[in-house]
Amino acid sequence: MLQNSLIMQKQIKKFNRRNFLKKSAATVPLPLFIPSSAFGANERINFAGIGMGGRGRGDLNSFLGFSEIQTSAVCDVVQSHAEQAKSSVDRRYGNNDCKTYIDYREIIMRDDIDAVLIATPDHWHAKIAIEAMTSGKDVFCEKPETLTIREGQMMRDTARRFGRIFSGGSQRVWGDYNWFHRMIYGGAIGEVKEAWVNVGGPSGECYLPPEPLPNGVDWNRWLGPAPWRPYHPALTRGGFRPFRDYSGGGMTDWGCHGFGGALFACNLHETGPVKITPPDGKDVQQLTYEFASGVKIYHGGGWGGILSFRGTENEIPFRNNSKNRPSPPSVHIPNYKGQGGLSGDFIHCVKSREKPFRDIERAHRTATHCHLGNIAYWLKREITWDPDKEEVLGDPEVSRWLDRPKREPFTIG
Amino acid sequence: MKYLISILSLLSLSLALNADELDEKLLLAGKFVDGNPADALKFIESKAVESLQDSQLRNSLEEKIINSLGTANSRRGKDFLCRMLRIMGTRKSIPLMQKLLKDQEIGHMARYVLASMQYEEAGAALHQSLDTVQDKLKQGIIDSLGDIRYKKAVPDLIKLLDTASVSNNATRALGLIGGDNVGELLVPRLSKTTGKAYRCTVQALLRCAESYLEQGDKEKALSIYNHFTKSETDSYVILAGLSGVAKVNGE
Repeated sequence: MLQNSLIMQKQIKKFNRRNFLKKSAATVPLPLFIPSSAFGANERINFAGIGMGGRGRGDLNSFLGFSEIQTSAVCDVVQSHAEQAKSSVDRRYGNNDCKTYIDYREIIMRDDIDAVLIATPDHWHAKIAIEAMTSGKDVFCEKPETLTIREGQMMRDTARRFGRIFSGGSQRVWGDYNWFHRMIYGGAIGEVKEAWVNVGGPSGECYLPPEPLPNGVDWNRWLGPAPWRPYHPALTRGGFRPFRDYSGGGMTDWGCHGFGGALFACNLHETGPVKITPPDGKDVQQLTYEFASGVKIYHGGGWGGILSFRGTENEIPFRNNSKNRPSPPSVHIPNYKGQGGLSGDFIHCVKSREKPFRDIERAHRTATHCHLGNIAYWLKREITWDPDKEEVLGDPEVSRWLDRPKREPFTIG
Repeated sequence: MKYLISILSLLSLSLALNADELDEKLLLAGKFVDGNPADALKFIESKAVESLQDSQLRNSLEEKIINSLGTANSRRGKDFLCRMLRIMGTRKSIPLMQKLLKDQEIGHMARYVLASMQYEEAGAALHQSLDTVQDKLKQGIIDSLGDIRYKKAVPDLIKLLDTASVSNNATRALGLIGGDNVGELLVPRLSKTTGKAYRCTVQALLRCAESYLEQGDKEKALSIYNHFTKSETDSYVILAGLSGVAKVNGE
């Protein structure tokens, strides 16, 4: 122990400010390394945005409001997206300094970038996030953070291995749904037994016809690890969500919000279900997740709004935004650190090296929950899941869907 | 008796019609180019899923898909048929998929089928194809051998560490598979590589160390972690090494 501490202290001396940020870990049990703040009062986090479509530019604008951030670069395979993002950044800083890239690898290679925002379509998240983290960068990644369960495992393992901060992108799990959490954690319904989540359904195969490729779109790079298909404009304009090669559909899109909220409310956000049963039109009306504790979460149903809960003593019959809902009990639930919602939480954690609210474990577990639901829908098959080993039990046909071979040369991890 | 015969005749007629419908739709699928006829594709997909509960249907559908792949004349059509085999294909599909691994256009989809199956023969097909393809297709096969942790490929993957076009893929795959001497073999790459290749080596070595630790071989794990704590490398890599040392010591 002493010898290790001495080695560590010796290493500390070699670190400059930026290296200090890159070395300190969110999860590694080395308290000697972790200061209250890795940055000085006037030092800013050098930031870059990758995937600057509508959602990406929205996220970027949110980060631009923080004085702790200096955005230096933006990237998109659609040139016009990158240019629009650059305009926002340059307008914010009153200069023309923001660099634009088509290839995210040029951002990853830059040693001066501390953290990246990833807001590409879902099928790119894992690849970019893992490459960013193995290059010492912290990551804020839009939800759904993963396209497959194996991707999530690789992302979590890489974040832990290199001590990187990874925040998922659901601002609603706490920001919109904290009233439910306060009610439930405060004991308003007794022990929570059931939850209903109203979000869209699963994605499916993409049969869109081919269309001529316009100038300014790098289609091969847009597809990346996904299987080849000809260009279609809907895909590069945000219309990729219904299609399985790029997304899990409503189940993972709003699912990462809604199921994320239900899992947090039920205190199941760092584990997973043991059984997932798809609707059969007879005995099972809704996709049903069962947990080892006996809690059940359903896809659809409830009594209005995105979330409904039933406990041993009561129900929560109020919509989240209902004006006449009661005040929740006074209860402390650890949530965002720092100031400024989910983005502020990430910035705080990049500086302090604490775990963010949507740490990769929670983001991955929520996405896994959504993916398992999709697989049950796709195959019309009940799934038995081991949430500790994160494996399907006794069903090789279901296990086929835990990952997808990536299109060469777009290796992940 | 009369009634029974009539019912049986109707039943066999309906089965024949279904079979004809399926054949007709598979023919359309093979020519699929422009998104139409989506109805035919959706019908086949529903049959593929249904076949998981019906071994007779699975058997006949797989044969039909294999035959259709032989006559399919569009890339999207072949792609679609491979996707169906990914859902319900069995060992019977492996020889054709192995053949398609060499196809520049459809090679990825053949791998999509093989690397998803949990049959030893599927891994063997990928392994046997390693020497028959080049460049990107080879990279893909190596990636898949790593993803499915195909241990028998380790000696061949080691040989590829010095082939520039695939050395990163081989390093990654070896890191994922792990094994007795893999860590030792990868260590020299730390001083020989830079940039992406270096990062790939670090990730692979850390994965090896973790697997040694899981197997209880602390000494081997420590020998890898120590390479990072002593190196003059990026500080976050040093930290990864130091945290590994701490894990070995149970801290």
